[in-house]
Amino acid sequence: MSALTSLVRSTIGKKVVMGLTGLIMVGWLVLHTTGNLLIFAGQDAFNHYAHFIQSGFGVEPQLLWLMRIALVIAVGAHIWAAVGLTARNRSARPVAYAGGRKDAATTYAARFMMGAGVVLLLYVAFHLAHLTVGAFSDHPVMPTTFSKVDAYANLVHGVGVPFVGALYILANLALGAHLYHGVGSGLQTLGADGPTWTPLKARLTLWVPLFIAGGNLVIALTCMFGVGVLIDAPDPAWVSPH
Amino acid sequence: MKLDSRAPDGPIETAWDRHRQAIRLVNPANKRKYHVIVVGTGLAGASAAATLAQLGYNVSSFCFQDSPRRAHSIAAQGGINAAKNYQNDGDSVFRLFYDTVKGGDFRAREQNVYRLAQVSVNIIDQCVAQGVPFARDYGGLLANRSFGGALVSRTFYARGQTGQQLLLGAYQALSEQVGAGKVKLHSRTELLDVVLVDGKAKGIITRDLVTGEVKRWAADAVVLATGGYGNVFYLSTNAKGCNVTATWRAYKKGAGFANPCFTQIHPTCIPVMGEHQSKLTLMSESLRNDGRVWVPKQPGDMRRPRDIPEAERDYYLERIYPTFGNLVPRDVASRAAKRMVDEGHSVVAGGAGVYLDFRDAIKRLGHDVVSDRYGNLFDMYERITGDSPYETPMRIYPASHYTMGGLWVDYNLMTSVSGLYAIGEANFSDHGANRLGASALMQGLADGYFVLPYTIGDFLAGEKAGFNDTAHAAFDEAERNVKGQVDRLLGIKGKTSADVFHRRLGKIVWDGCGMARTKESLGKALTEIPALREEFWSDVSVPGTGADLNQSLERAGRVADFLEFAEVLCRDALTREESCGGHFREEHQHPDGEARRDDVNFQHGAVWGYEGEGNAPTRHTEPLDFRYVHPSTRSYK
Amino acid sequence: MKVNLRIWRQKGPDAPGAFQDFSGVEVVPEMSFLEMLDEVNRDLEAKGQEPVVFDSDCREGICGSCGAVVDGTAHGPGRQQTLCQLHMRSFQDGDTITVEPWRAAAFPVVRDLMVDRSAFDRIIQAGGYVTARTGSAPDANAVPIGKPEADAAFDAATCIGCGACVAACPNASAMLFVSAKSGHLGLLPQGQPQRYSRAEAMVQTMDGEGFGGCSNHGECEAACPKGIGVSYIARLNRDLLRAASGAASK
Ligand SMILES: Cc1cc2nc3c(=O)[nH]c(=O)nc-3n(C[C@H](O)[C@H](O)[C@H](O)COP(=O)(O)OP(=O)(O)OC[C@H]3O[C@@H](n4cnc5c(N)ncnc54)[C@H](O)[C@@H]3O)c2cc1C
Ligand code: FES
Repeated sequence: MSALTSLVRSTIGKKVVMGLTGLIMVGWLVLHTTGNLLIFAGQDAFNHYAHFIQSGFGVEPQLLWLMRIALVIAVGAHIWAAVGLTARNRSARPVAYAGGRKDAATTYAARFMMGAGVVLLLYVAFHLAHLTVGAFSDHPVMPTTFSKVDAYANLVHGVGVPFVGALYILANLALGAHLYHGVGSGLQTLGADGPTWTPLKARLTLWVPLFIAGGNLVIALTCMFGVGVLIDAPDPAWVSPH
Repeated sequence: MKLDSRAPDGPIETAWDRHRQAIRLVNPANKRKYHVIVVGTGLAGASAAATLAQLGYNVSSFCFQDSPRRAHSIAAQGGINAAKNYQNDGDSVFRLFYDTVKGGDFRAREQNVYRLAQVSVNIIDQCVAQGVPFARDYGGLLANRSFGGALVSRTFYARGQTGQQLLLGAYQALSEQVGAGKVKLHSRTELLDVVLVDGKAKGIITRDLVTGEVKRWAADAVVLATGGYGNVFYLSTNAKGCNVTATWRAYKKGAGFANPCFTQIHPTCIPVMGEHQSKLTLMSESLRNDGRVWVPKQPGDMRRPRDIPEAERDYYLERIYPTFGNLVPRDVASRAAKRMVDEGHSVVAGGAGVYLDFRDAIKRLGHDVVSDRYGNLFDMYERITGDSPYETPMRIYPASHYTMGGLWVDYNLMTSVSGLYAIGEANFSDHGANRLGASALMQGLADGYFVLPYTIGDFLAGEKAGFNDTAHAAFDEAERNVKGQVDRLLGIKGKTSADVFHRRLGKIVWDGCGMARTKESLGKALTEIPALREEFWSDVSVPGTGADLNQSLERAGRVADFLEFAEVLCRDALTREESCGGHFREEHQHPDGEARRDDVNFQHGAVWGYEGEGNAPTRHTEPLDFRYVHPSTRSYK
Repeated sequence: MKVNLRIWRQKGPDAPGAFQDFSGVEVVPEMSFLEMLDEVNRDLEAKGQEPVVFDSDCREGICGSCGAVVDGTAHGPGRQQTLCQLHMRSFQDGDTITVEPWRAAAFPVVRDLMVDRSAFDRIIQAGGYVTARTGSAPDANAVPIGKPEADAAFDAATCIGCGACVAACPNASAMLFVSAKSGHLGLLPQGQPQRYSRAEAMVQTMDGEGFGGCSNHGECEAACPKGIGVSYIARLNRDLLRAASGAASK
């Protein structure tokens, strides 16, 4: 058997899949969050950014689809590997410790990976329906009409709804936890260790979730409680397509 | 009993080469037709099994632990000797040979010891090639330390875990052969008898420790690498499972048992703390490289050690033995400690102990160097006693540690039973009356890697290959005996755990035949042992059945053998009317308390032969001849 | 002082098990945990009852025979020690102590606290060695090894194969064990020729034995009596990736 097939078949192969796909998604999330933060630069900047993405990064609209497909595959593979490994891990300990097993090193984040993963999956579905597809136009979830062009307004109004905002907050807490264990774990699986990588890994483990989940949390909180700050001069130009 | 040592005559330097030329060989293509049983997976057994398999023989390997890697050798701490002379301090094969013969107090066969010193250098090469991580200096070359009884630095070590690293090397080599199908491994399996067909060892009877199944195994030759019998003292530094069963049952099948009274007491162990104690922990001898042994000059001085001023301390080893100081051989150091304690200088309230102090070493070398050398030993000590040796001196006292005696073997390592070999601590060969530190690992690996795999060919070449007749009447009988003993033990249904009998036996043997022996103490032991044995056979409690996992039964079987063996041990000590090495008869000492050897009457190996149930064993002798190292009074002053 | 014990009793791998209670067991603080179990067993034997079955041999933390989960922790409270090194001074008068075996599909219970760890042996048999025929070795000093590499190899080589890593891991994974051997041999020049094939073979066997996968909880490192760190796991992963990408054969 070649080294590659043997790796793919091993548990470690599945973990490498998890690690690689995880890192792809982290990369996407960093971009996405950076873009989201443009909300603080005003409606104009934010909507231009949204258009930039929709136009396939200003290059070719198909690119967006390519990226979406890549992300779907990453998510699918991530889930496939996770389910396989979890099933395996369950069967590796068929009888639990009757007197309990005390955790000595692991974190809640690590223990909650599967749970957080499921939460995130549901959240992504809702989020896409909510702010990408616009499935809830004029619905209490999206109190205004969903606009195809004013992504800024969609976000501000959509997330400004208290229980929706709360949902985003919860989901991002789960995301933070998932990343807190996932980033370090993925890097470890990919063999990142040593005088350069060990400290870097520790820093990334902290800063990546802080940036992504923290950034989104700030946005959600602002939409909920600081709308005034955001929409102080709504630009009529974005009300209808130009 | 025929005791032909088969040791080659002529110049000792070429003896081993000439012998290898002279013995018969098995044709490489025929080796795979032979099947060899190796019992034991310690350094000796694992190295032998791996090497035999590499040579092409089919091997079955047995051990009572759940994995071969757990053999008692794993616990050796200090190091392994080899005449590499990497330190350029004047070491040589001859010097290692000389030190070993002298250290053994002139009770070992010269040719065997010379061969041991010769192959010692190959051992280090072999182990390094296997990936044994010996200590190295900053230049990347191998480091050495010195050990008791030597004036050169020739001990290779791997922190305080040398035995572990060497055993893992041998275990891995063995595992490779298991993976290749050349070795069949039988863990959790205990040898309970050796089977002789027409006077030759052709198989064994075992009990599967999980299922209780008693099974027969046939082979063309049998190798016992089952370790020493130090647990006859109950409290010893040996692992709990160490036993005399394999060698004792071989003895009952006709293999001579040599020099059982040569037992080694190790000077640096953690003192006994209470009744509950199940074993004693060794603090490696290497500690004596940098630690200084002392007691308060004033008997009964129970001040804290730090409060005792320099002038009121007696560094008695440095005082009595200025040349070797703290590095005198083990027997000398042990007896000196006993003398100090007997004179009232013990540093353990209500018990026995002396100090081993690192204050000066820490001052001289710094905390880091000391911790690099001995860190894990210090931690081990602190874990057990709750005291940190960085801050307060260790308290130590001698304890049973190693047994030089064992099955008598010839130069080929064959016992007095044809086709039955004994290697490692299980034989009596190389250490005479006292073993030098770091020489047991050397001997185990020499036997297993470099001696037995060649010498066994001499026997096999004369045998028709592929003996597998387990239906032979000899197997029937051996199996019947084994099952008979199991049933007998289960049938007693007494009230006392075998462990309790073991502890009582240990006390009798320690008091009667421990660090110092007298005619009276031995006589007393020799009346107490049979009485205890009788009590055992009427009151031991072995719950459960034989056809099942039964640890009570395992323990009881081993204690039953110790109860028989202890008598031969004391008998040997009683007959050897001299003091030599680890055998110290108080009647035979110089006015200054040093041992007095009797070369006129006792320059021989004493070999005990079994004469049947209820009969006294017979004592045979193998005279020893010293042509290269002339017997002198050992002096380390 | 007195303690109460809840000890797992189980006849065989497929038999049902249950806790047996022993109350008011008399102990002294200097006793080791196993010596305390010895006392319990001596009493049971004196009453003609079968003793609690457990493995132990060296009783000084080096052979790797002993092990049980005590109050939820592999080898009991306290870091970097084996069960045989645990002393009763770690407990208080009146404590109730729960003792159960390593639990993992790859380590079936043999009896009571004794489990079958032969899967570890099979992993080593698959590749955990350096092929070096007896007698063929060059001089030991022919290849100098820098102290840092020698030390790192040594740290990994201290593994005693007790199985606490598997017992403590929420996934019952054996990655620390495998990576320790792969790290020990893979860091030394003598181990280079088989470095990648060794890693692959051991991982394949590990998976075949039914251990779980590593999800980087770090429980193994915390439970390891020798303090072997998870960085060896990263190293093993790296070796496997390198082998798979073909970089290893270049
Ligand atoms: C604490 C300690 C430290 C030591 N330190 C050193 C040191 O630094 N340097 C040194 O040179 N020496 C040292 N020694 C001595 C040395 O470790 C031993 O003499 C040596 O390891 C013995 O090896 P062996 O292969 O002969 O037997 P062992 O390692 O004792 O192996 C015996 C084997 O036989 C098997 N066995 C026994 N009985 C049976 C049976 N009935 N059925 C089936 N299998 C059986 C066991 O399972 C085991 O595999 C030390 C000893 C102790 C106790
Ligand atoms: S009994 Fe050997 S490690 Fe505990």
